[in-house]
Amino acid sequence: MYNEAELVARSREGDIEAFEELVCCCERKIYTVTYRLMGNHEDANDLAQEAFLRAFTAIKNFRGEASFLTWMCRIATNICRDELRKRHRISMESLDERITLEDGEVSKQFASPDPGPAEVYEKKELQEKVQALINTLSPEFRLALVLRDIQGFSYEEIAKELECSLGTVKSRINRARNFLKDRLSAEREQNSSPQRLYGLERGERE
Amino acid sequence: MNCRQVEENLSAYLDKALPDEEMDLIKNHLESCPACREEYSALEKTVLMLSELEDIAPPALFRSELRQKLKEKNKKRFSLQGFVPGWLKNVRGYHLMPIAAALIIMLVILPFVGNNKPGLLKNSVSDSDMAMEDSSDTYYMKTKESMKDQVTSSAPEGKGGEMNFMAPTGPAPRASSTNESLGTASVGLTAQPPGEIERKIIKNADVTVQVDDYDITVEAIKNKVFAMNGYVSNESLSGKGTEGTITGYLQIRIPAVHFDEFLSGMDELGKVKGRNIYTQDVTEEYVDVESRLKAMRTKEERLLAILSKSGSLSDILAVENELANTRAQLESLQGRLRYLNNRTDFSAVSINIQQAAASTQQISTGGLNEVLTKTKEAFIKAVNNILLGTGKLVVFFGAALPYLILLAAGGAIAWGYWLKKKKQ
Repeated sequence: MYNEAELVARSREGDIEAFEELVCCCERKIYTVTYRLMGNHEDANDLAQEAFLRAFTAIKNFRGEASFLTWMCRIATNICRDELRKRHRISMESLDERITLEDGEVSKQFASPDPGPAEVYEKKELQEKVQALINTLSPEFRLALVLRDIQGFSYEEIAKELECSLGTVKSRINRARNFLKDRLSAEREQNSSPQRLYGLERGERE
Repeated sequence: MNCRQVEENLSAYLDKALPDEEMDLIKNHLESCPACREEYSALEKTVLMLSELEDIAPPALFRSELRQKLKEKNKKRFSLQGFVPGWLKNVRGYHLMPIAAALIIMLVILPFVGNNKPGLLKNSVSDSDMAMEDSSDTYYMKTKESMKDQVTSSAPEGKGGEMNFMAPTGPAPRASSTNESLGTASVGLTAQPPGEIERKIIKNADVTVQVDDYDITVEAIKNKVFAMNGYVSNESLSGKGTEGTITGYLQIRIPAVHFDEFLSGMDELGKVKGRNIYTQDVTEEYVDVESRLKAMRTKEERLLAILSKSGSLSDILAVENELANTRAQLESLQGRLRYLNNRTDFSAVSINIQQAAASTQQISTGGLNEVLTKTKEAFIKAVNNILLGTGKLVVFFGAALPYLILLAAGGAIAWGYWLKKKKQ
């Protein structure tokens, strides 16, 4: 097993095997990021690969200030962000189904594989349900949420990454979380036995 | 702090991403407000759930697909990819839109900036004219005599008489020898008995010479032409080339008798790169005009004779009228004859003079100096151009400002409308 710096140096020379070692260490994380952001396996697969390809061609710009994983996460996030924004622009024109909030809006984005609320309810896997809810967030909210709660970036880092102010990040994360919270509790109310499903019953821990 | 404010900051509180005093405020509020506490607890659970979401394994084929793509990339990288800057690869269609728009605007603008249209950008006209001055140093000299089809009354002395033919002995044999040597034209006319009619032949030539020194050559040609009683009808010097090449054009008229002598003398001036000699036999027309002139003369004499015998007023008037007509025709024929005389007496020779870049006969000593001077000139020119261009742009934007304001207003309205639509 080689250390990271050595693998990076070899990748820089065009050594695919060395790069694959690097990919090996972080593909799971990266794939998770792309999946959480894109919401389906096809896009996640394409964009994760795209992220690694881009990293491979741009590895000479990687100076080892942060870990390779962090660097990769940033690349993957950027790719997904661009893709989401691009799609959002298109969907803005075709899909008018949006929920307007006080100072922002949350778009319902029912892209092809996204399940409707009924289907969400039917699914047994909690994780898939949460993902389905994340999928209904508009790109900016989804990005903020995933960067914060899945990838664990700080508010400052997110602001830098998404090129917006700290206040905006705060508000977006707050809104996105509240949206998820509300949707989950709304579903729980429809459900006869919410505890079994989510373990989100308010009084549970008290 | 009220519940609403707390709710807004709850998420950040959870992440401990607030200033200490706000953290304390919210903490205090939560202790006292059960509703917010409940809210906080639910939020906490949501966040916890999110963080507990498991990582997702990539599909089985992920690694092998990636390997395939990496290999392709690697191939490209070492052939082509290396030359493409990284940022270029991230350029998307919509990134290019502002650039495309700018280009289109430039394309629309440039013709206006470049052209010196009157009315638009008047100020720039004089500027660009000034800039033109040093770029091509052309002057055009046209002497009175050079008006091509104008009948020259100022032909050299000795030829002044209107019906004066050339000395019959001189040009005739020379002319025919030229004809024979060139093998062109007027062969049919040789059937006419020689000596009876003088051959009238217009001889013109185009010569291209390459010389070492333009000015000296032009001077030499002029001296020669003057010595042969000829004259320069046209002279033009087209700009000096970047490498010291000069091309110029001289049109001269020399007496036909000296035509061959002059042409053979061209070899001494420089390398003759091309020579065309055109001859035109105008004997037939000449004879025709001459005989018609004779007839007109006779007619004029007869009319004068009739006029001297007094008749009725109407007769006199008719005769006078006829006489005027005859005289007009006479004049015209005389003019034509004079023109033919001039053409045949004086041959036109066009000389293209080229000065080669470097002297072929001697080593140029001022080479370095010249380079320095030229560099300096080029530098000054470039700076001037930049200043001029900037000035023009400023002027243009000044002129375009009203339109831009209108456009901006229109755009703002459209944007506002779009925003409104989006809000709905």
